[in-house]
Amino acid sequence: MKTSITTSITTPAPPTSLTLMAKMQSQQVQPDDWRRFLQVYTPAILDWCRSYHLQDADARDMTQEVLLRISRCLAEFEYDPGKSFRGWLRTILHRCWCDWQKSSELGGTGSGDTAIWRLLGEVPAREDLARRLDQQYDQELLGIAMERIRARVAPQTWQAFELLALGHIPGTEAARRTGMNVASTFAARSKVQRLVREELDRLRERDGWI
Amino acid sequence: MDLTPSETRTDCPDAALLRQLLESALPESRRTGLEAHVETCVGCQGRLEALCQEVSLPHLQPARLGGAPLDTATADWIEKVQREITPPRFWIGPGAGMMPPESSDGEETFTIPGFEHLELIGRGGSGTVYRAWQPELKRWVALKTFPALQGGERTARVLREARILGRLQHPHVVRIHGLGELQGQPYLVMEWITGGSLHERIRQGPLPIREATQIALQVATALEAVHALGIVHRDLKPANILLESPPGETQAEHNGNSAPSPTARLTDFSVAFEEDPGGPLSRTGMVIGTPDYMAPEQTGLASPSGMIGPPADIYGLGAVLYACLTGQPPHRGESALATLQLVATREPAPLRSLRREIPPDLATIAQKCLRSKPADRYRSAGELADDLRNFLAGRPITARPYSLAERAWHWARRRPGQALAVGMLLGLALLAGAGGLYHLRQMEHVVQQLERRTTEAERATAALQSSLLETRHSQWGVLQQLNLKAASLLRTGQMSREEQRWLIETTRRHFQSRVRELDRSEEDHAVDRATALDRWCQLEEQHGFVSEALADGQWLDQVTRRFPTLTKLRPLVRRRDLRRVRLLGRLRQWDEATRQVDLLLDQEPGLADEADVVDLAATVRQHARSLAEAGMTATARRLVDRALTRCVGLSDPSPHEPALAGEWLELRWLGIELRMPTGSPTGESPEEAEWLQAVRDLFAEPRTNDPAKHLVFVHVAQRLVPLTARRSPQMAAELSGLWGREIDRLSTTFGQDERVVQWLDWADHRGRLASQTSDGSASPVLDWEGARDGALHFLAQHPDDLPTRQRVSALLIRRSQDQLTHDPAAALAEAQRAIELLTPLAGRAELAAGSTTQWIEAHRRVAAASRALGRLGEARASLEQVYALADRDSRDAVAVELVALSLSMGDRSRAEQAAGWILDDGPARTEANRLLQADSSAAFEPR
Repeated sequence: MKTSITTSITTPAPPTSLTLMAKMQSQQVQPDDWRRFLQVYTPAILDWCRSYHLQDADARDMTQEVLLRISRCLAEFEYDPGKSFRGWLRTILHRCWCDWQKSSELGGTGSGDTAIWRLLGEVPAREDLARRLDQQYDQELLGIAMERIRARVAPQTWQAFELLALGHIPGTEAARRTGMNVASTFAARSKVQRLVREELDRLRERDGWI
Repeated sequence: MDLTPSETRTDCPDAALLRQLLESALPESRRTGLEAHVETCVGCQGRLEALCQEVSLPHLQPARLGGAPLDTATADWIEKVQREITPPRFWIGPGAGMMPPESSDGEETFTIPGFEHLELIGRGGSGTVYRAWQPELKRWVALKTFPALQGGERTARVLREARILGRLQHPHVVRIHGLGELQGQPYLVMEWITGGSLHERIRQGPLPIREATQIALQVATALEAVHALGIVHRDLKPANILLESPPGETQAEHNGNSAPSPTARLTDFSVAFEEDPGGPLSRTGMVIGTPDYMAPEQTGLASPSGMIGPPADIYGLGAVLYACLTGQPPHRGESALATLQLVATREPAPLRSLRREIPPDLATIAQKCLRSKPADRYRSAGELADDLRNFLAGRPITARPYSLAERAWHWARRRPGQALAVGMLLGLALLAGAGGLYHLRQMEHVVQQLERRTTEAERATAALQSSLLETRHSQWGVLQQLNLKAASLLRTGQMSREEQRWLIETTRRHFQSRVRELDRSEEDHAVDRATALDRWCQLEEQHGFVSEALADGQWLDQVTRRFPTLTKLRPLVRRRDLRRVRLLGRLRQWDEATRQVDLLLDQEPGLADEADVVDLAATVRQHARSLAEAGMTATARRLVDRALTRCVGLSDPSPHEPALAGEWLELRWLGIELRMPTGSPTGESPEEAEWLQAVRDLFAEPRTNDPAKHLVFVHVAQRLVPLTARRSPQMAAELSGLWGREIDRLSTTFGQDERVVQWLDWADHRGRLASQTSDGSASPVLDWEGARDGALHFLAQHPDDLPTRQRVSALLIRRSQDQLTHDPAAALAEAQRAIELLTPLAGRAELAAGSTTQWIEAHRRVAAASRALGRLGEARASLEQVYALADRDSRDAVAVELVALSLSMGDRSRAEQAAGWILDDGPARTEANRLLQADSSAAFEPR
């Protein structure tokens, strides 16, 4: 039975999308999200492992192990919306480490990964990993913010921002490439920069809802 | 000297004008001239850049965004991982359950048996609301799910909200139809209210006086019923009041009193609390609610803070009425924090100052609800309802405005002090802590109730109890959360040192009050509590509260005294002791720290031996370095030797466990470094020979073909060469030979980039050594050129290896700097090469952080070399590039350099122009003025 909805209601447009991290915290995880999550966040963990001089194969094993544990923790950990993202991440990482400790006390872990797991118990190293993941999250938000603003401004305006703010190339050169005069190029960049900043603040405020 | 200003350049505009130009806020007539000027004026371009930088963005790394260009091996591997690891949480496949619509077009995308046309309406902190059609009963309903909650807590919360709503049969409280469960997810079925929320209504503007009053009256009667049942709502706000459109209306009209008013329905009891009948209807302070509509006592900042009861709801309703009448909440700060502070410290602006037509009686009623002290408000929702009825009927009201004396007192209270600002921060910090306790109590309550009804709730009880146990187990977790909150506040970097200290001190007091419980803890709790303490001390250490961290670390003794044999406590004690070494080191209490290190070294290795030893060794190494820097080399050596023995005693002399092996190697190297001869350098002494032999031996030791280990040696050599070069060039030359060999040992597959960079660094040092030893046999220039060409070749083949590109250009820049005095032409060429390396990165965001600095530095080198070669015009052009890209803080200094350079070229007008680019009044401007002054007086001196 199809009923057409005639009642006019004023409701806010429902949020339709979530950042990947927010999705991981919600119950709306779909296989696609998980894949994208891996694609975006795995390299950060991999880099982290490598920064502690793990060889490639070990780094991969370790990363896989960390991911496995993160996925378990995500499944169990109650998400507190009041907590900062980084705080949440750190709690997750701490839980991973506790998990590992528990299993190693039971003699359940392999031999080679001990060193790096111990690292996860070390605050600086864990902080470092949380920082890397947090940066990744920042990137995600920034990417979303930029995509939105990009759709909202003229291509030329966007190009000015790209060249000057992201490319750090001199104003005259940017002006030549955009075909605007130098002053307008800067004005365009300034405008986009403000818009992106505002959008980013909005995204952060909404705690992952986009 | 030519003093006539250049005709081609007009005066540069001031910063305010440039800012207007950026904001496109200039009239056409003024803009055109300015645009023409900016077109050719590199200084103004630089200043525009500086002004743009005032709006900050995080550093973008597009390579890391989704769809990043990963190398294929990694990408394949990720695919594999994705298949192997099950994703977090369950998900419900399409058509099976609770998924939000991916688009907002209202198409139904999931089903719950018995409901049709599910449509996502909104999400809040506590739940997600859908609208759905119930065909059997032919009615619309609202379904509320709780996706943000999990497990036991979710069940408890849902049951509680259902129970509260079930008990409340009131025309102005939203009705509950039932409770459902789908695939383990509970949901509430509630009546669907057609008119949207009061929040949306207020967004369209203030309400007519009468309508606002009627809504307030309806909610007041609802509150009367709510409070009578021993329930406090605690989150009154327009978004939680739904409006039912009067029959025949599809949308509320707001054009006058004639239109029938909508009916208000109070909803969302998710943070409400209920007391046992007969018990006191209050509870000590906790921050729950929405800052805009929160009562002062809810902020946890007002004095006396404390009991939250029905008066908090009366305040909330007053705030809602205020918003209905004025279109804005009583207080609104720049941020949630600022709002909280306003709520706690001020009474709202008088209503009639915002909207004159508000009758004085109604304003008095609203303002009586909004009094800071709960006791000054209406004593009950019933009294408030009565007064609202009195007002609507034109009868006198009971409330009185403040007397003059009261007003004066409140005026005095409105001045917020520093202490209150910090108090507010702590109020937020306590939010997590108090909330945790709150949930704990709620859960206990629910468990008790469920236990009475065993048959239907046996399974639920089991689930709840297990989660309850977990919560109890982590009761100290409440403190941990407080700890986390404090940590995140500290991390914002926005607090002054004084505020930080206040926060730390206050949180410490909370810990102290709990520490007393430590010696009564059960074993299970002891570890958690000790862990909480550990993290707390760690936070103090991180933020430089050194003596506090030292003192608080001793609390742990209370736990260990009670459980002397509990093995799980040992790692925490070790961490505490290791931290003690670091903290004492920071206080420069070397003897005490050394004593602690000795104690640690005395201990028998524990069970988790190797990992422990690595920590210990790392701490000893750090401490020994500090000791050596403080001149206590002998003690440092002794400690290193002891630590080495400890490593050896544990395992064979060359441990296999990688971290331990690495630490062992580092310790050995430190031992050798600490034995580096210190007497006056002779180049020939037996002591030096012996030392060098030790170095040779260590380098010559057989080792596994582990690239990471070779890397340690490479880095040690890299450190030792410049260190020894100061003392004995011959020794350094030999070491550089060893260094070269180690670089050769780096595998060509793993670490080709490292090789390239190391060779370059090596060649550079070789060059310096050769100039010191005047060793004719070496050809350092050829070494350098070979290494450089190798590096450039590598980079040509690996255009995407940005880190190496940056490292190589850094070395080129350093080389350019070194060469400046004796070979400016070579210096110029190297700097230009560095610029060439960096150029392809222009226009790519990766350049943003480190490379911009390098780019600037490279231009600086070009400027310096050109200047040394007497090519002043080129020097100025490069310096102008530096100016255009320098960051806001260093820009003015570059402008001064430009002034000086232009003056030395005799170009006074360009000098004056550069002086005009200076943005801030400060030393730079003073210096520029001084230079110009000196120049003009020089012009009048006879030649």
